[in-house]
Amino acid sequence: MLFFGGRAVMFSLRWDAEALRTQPLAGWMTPRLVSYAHDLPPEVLLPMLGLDPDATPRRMTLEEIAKAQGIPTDRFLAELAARIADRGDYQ
Amino acid sequence: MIDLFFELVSGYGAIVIALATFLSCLFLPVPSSVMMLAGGAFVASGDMSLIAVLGGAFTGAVLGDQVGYRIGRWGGPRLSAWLARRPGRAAVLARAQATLRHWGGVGVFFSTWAVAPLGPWVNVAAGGAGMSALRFTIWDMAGEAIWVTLYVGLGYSFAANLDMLASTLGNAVGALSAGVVALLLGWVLIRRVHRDQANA
Repeated sequence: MLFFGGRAVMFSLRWDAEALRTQPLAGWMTPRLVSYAHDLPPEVLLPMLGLDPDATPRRMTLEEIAKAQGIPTDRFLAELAARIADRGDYQ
Repeated sequence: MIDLFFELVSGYGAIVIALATFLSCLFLPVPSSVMMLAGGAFVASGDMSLIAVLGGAFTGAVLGDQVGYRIGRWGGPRLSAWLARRPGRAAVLARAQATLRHWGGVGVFFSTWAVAPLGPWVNVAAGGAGMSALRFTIWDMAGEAIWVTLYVGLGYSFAANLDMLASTLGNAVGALSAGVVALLLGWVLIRRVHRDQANA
């Protein structure tokens, strides 16, 4: 109990420190989740991924999109993160 | 590791959440809470519908609990008959069953959400103790409704920070469950010491 309790407290403290920081991009995320988390409308985000906002199925993951485009997932995620970071250029 | 379960939810939708809650109510260590959090996040992002996520999680959980209860019901009499072969054990068993019959509904209610890891045990015990199916089902559904709404709601609210939320909650629930088990064991020990002193 102490073990889990201690971990819960530790994580809560970390949680506090990181609460305002959005979690890093991951392969399981969908474009809509990324757009929600980063406060970017899908109409802005989907074109960044080379996708048509009107023709993208729901629940397609970033990993699947990377695969479909023949790009390694890690590189795909890193490029997307960079584009989101300087999204000023895209708005 | 957690990412794998998020991926299952984005890949297969509400069905996989239903399957997870079903299996986790049957002693299988499936991280159904993590999958409900993911479901909630995908509702927030607009990838999944709220009705599908809540309905799937609730249906799976209630069905899983029913199977556990039925197992207790079928296996119970045989197990009880075997235990009751010794008069001392028979007396304890009779008292335990009477207690669960009297307080069991509330126990079932809290075991579904506040101390969810204990849920499967309580289901089988309730069936074995002969709690009425209607009473079990009503308390169980009330508890599961809270469990499901709580996790899906948290996932919805913290969609932008799911990883951190999942590990924080996992540890909090672990601590709470370990605490309840410790209290129960302590209570059994104290009773035993008292009884031994009375007999001495």
